[in-house]
Amino acid sequence: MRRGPIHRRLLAAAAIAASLAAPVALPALAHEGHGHGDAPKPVVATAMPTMETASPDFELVAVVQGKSLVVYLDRFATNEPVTGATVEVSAGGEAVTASPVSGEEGVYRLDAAWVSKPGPHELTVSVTAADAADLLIGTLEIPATAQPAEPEDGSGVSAILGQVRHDPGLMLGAVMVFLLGVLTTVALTRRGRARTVAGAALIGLGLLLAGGAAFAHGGEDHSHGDEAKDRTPGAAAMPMAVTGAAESPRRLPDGSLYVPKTSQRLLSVRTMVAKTQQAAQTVQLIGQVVADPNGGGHVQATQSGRIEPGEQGLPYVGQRVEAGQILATITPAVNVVDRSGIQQQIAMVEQELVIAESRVQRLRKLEGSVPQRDIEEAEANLNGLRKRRAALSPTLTTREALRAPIAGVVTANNVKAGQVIEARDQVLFEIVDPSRLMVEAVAFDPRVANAIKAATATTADGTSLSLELLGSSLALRQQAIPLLFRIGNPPSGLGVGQPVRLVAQVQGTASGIVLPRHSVVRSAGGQPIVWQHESPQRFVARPVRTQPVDGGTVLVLAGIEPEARIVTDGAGLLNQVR
Amino acid sequence: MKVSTLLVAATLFAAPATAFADGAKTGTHGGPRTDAGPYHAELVLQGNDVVLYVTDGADKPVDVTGAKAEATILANRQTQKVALEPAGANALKGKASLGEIHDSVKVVTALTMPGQKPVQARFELGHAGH
Repeated sequence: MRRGPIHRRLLAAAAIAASLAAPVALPALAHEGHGHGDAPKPVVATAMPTMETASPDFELVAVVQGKSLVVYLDRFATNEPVTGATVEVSAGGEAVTASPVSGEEGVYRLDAAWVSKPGPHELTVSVTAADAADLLIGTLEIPATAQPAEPEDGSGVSAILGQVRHDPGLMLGAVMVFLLGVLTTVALTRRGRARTVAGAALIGLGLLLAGGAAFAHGGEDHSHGDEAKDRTPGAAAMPMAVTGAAESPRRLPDGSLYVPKTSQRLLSVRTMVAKTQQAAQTVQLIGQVVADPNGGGHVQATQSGRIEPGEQGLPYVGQRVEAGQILATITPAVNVVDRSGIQQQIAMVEQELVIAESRVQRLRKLEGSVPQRDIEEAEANLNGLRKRRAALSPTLTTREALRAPIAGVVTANNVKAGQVIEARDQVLFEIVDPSRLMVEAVAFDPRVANAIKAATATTADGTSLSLELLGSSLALRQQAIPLLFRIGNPPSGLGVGQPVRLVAQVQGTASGIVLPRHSVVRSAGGQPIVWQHESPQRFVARPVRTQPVDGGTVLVLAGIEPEARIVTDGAGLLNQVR
Repeated sequence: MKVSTLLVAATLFAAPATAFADGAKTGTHGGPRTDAGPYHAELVLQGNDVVLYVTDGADKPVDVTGAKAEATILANRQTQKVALEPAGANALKGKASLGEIHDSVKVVTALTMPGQKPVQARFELGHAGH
């Protein structure tokens, strides 16, 4: 008795799978066993009849808007709008030249009678741009009503039943599924009671609806016209924007993005064709901006005293100063004891000076009668005393000028006017030459430190710096080797102490696809991804493994194939589409 | 039990998903071959002669009696339309006026088999003298 339910469940599973698979299998079998066209792509239900086509040069999207056809023309490789092209659309032997829509790049519009004629239209588009000419083909399906299709495809019971009613094949399939469900359930219950049969009928109906829903979904791809027959005209009269603002970018169930051309133009989405390249192996280091010892200066006082502003006042932080410019002066501070001692010395010298002067005068009058040696002695004594007085007298009044040792920008000012400072124990001003900055980084692996050839650094705000290796220290600092780089052409706005991320190229190369750094974005799961331009209005996320090449580019080692079109500009914005 | 249930369902689901690969891109006459609706079409440009060979999905020649075709040829930045007439077996022939040298020629053909809707195919030829 235990085995019964197990068998039943197995059979039930088979029945469910069969009923679900039947609608999938039927269209596949109906396809004449011939695999034509491209690989199946998820078809996006667009609000307006749309044709997408592409050639190696161009990518073209044609959208029906009312009675006219709007053509979006872009470069295939870069997704740049093609302006100034001649676009001629032929359908059914009638050729119409589209005129450019003013104010919009790469948008062309044409009016033709067939646009409002339902059914499939085989279009040939002849494009003549400044540098290339091409022929593109495609099929434009116009639904039966001129009204745009409803944005949401009806998947309710009535819609399904309506569709089943219209298609004898679907009807047959639905009946078979219904009978299969009923028979299976009857067989499983063995003892056929009325209650069970009723239950079976219910299950069969459920399967029918499930099958119908699957039919309805499959039907979108091929039979827009049939669906539209059931719609009441005028029910879906939505306002028409000039270039189809009714469409909005959205994420499809398979995770890819549907981005209409209008949105692509707004987001300025650009792509590049992936090409395999060789790039140098790189390592990443952390560093910080430091001042060049020859490009940084400290201003210190040699004696204690009181700060007095220079001629142009005290320099403020950020001010540009010239070499030799007086930043401040110091009035020497002399304490009372020293001052009285000096004054005493001055008084003594002056007293001796008076005596010596009168002695020199007296001896000069007696010249000839006194030995010449005495006169010279007295004069030498007088000169010595004068020098002593000259040396003593300014000690109380002479001020020391503090000059900028180099030209640069004041980065620190530690004094205020009138402040009394002690000699040598204090850095009064710091000056940095912004054109001579360096980056100091630390490498933990000595082999890396020895293999580095060139490097680029990126600051937190994304500025890229090119670096030239000056050398590495022989002394380890915290078990790491300090490396010093000179910044070539430092941009303005760099600050000493600013952290930077270095990408240093080491010997050896790696093969991969070089992309700009901003192509690589993070998925919701934090995985690095790039967006591949799969078809004109569809983008697919590709998880990638990357390695930085320099500050601005990365090397994709795995995840994308050569010749794929990868979004460069606008990847971050695409990533936000939900 | 659960595994087998899944297995049964998976097998039944997977069967119709099997895809068929198309054949080579170059046809038996040396020209590029591509899909044209339910057919395969191969285009050969020989001097000024335009020949379109029609085969079915299995590359078996298809009789083109009663069929008509038109080729739109873009060469030297000039487009021209050439009517192709059935010329025995599975070939449709027409005469174009192509210049001397072409870097690349793009051709779009619209093939109308008797009693059917026209189907389009696009070809890109590196040189005219294939």
